[in-house]
Amino acid sequence: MSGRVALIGLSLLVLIAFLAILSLTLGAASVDPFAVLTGRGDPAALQILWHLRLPRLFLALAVGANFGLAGLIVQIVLRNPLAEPGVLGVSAGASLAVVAALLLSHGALSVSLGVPLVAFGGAVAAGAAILWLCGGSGDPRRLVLGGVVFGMALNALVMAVIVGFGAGRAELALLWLTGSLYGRGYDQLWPVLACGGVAALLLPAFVRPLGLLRFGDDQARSAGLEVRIWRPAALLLAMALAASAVSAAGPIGFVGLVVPHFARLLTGAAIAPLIWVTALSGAAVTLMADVVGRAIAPPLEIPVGAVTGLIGVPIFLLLLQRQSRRRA
Amino acid sequence: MTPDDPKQRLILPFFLLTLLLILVCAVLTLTQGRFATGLADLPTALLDRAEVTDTGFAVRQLRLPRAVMAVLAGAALGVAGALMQAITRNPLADPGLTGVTAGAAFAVVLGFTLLGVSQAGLLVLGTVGGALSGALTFALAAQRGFNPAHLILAGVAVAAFCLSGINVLLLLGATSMNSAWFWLVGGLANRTWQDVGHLWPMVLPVLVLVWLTSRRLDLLLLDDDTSRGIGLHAGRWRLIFGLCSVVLTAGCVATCGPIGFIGLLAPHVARMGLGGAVSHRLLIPASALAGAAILSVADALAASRLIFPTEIPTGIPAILIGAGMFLLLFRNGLRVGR
Repeated sequence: MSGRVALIGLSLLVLIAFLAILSLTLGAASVDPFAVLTGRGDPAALQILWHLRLPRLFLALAVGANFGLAGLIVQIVLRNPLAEPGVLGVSAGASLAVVAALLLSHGALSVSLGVPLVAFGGAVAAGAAILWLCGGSGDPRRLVLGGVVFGMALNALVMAVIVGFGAGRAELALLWLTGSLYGRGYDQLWPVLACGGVAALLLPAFVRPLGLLRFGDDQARSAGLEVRIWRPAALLLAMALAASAVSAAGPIGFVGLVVPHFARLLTGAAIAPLIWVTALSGAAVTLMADVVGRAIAPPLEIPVGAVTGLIGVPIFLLLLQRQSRRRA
Repeated sequence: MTPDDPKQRLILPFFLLTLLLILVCAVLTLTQGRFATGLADLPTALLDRAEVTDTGFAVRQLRLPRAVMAVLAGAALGVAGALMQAITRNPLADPGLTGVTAGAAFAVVLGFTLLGVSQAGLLVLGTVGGALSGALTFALAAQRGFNPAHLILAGVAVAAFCLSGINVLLLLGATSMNSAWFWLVGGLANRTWQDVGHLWPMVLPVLVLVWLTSRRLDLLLLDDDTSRGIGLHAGRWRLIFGLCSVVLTAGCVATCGPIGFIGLLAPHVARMGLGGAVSHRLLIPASALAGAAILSVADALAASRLIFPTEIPTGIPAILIGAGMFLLLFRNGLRVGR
């Protein structure tokens, strides 16, 4: 079993390396990364590679891994394969905060530092409100319903702000709402990496609780797990992961929903390998979506959020069909 | 049900109250706007067709169709929600949360960006799209025996798919993002008698049909073995009522855009107003009235510039009222599932 997991991990790493080379090469300006690395490239190419493509590459990987892990935790804790980090309200909360800040600050908000900060604040506030309102320690179904409805209300407010105060400056807000990696640099990368790193340190402690929570409260309790502590803790971890990813890249959909299914299909249900394979697949899928979005019609870019939506639909349906057949 | 039954005594007040609310909102809608109209001028502006004035034109051609649309669309959405809740036996089902609205919206956007079909074609296209996405949601939800939380997550996933499809269509199409977003929120501004003419032939016959067959809805709430014992083809009637719900929703989406939450809320408001569970013969008209009242209030708020500096799409106050009331219901212990 572990040999199989190692093989899967290795092939995912190879895929990521291949995509990384593509990501460094493709774009509005064609750059040969090997020439630059061996010192044969011109200074402009070095500049593009070092300050634009490299941070973007790592950001795609980190955002994808964080979204994927957040989705996995949410699906396990809420015991529902259709749950995604959006249920915690992070995307809607970040959207409302960013749109309101962009449109009400009259351009005073710095896009590279201010927007991610505001987004993170909004995401955490909305997530905390949902956990508090719907009882993070109680019935998971209440959390799902309350979270979905709360998210819809926040999205309605986003629309209201755009329509009410947008007047000619809505494009910037709308671009952010699609979810994109365009123009991101090291400033946005560090917070996502930090959140992912802390999560990676904490996750080994969560392996057993997650494995028990999957089977329901009674089972988990009878195995000696403090459900009232571990469930909110796991949800908080998922919220922090998703909030950091949203704050850097905007609300990219489907990675948190689809990637855990993909990982489960590859590894089976054991938690520890599932965590690592989910992180790697999330990184690979997001990087792939970014590369595809840049490669289709250069110099135009299709935002990564739109690409994950398009790729996500058929994959998701296929995976669900597979799973239901396997269960039957 | 005896005459002393509290439910029986609440029927008349509930119907009168909702009608009064609709009337007040209609008067508000008719008098507000660029050509301010006093209450006293309203009868002349409405009835005196001979005199051509700005006010008369604004009232008869701009504001009256809008008020009528609010009532028609609200009633349609309210009944669509009641049907959805009955056929799934799930108090949280509604055309929006089951992905039907988003599917219809995707089809309509496809129609007017790429295919360029007429308004009547949009109605048909919207119905087909709504039916397909609704079927997809139910197919996903069936894996867990229609567990309420699962049904909603399936609906959210389907709706998210449709929304990303809409995003791509808008990126491809030449439509300005701003106006498209305005439409996607759902609104009643600038609706004319022509839109009313498209909506009522779709809505009114279905409403009458549903009301005439509403006995069957009560039977669908029984478990399947019992209803089979009475000789009811439960599956067939679920399909018929499901289609009715889709047609009602699609009509609203094609003419007013996707307005959320009214279908979810109206039946609960109706039940609360009538003092508990009632037969569908009563619940259907009550839901229609409640839906019409909620949408009328939302539209009067949207037109009034009370909250925002400009006029906002009707969908925004509608969804805010809806979400607020829903969270209230939710905290007060709305029963989740059967």
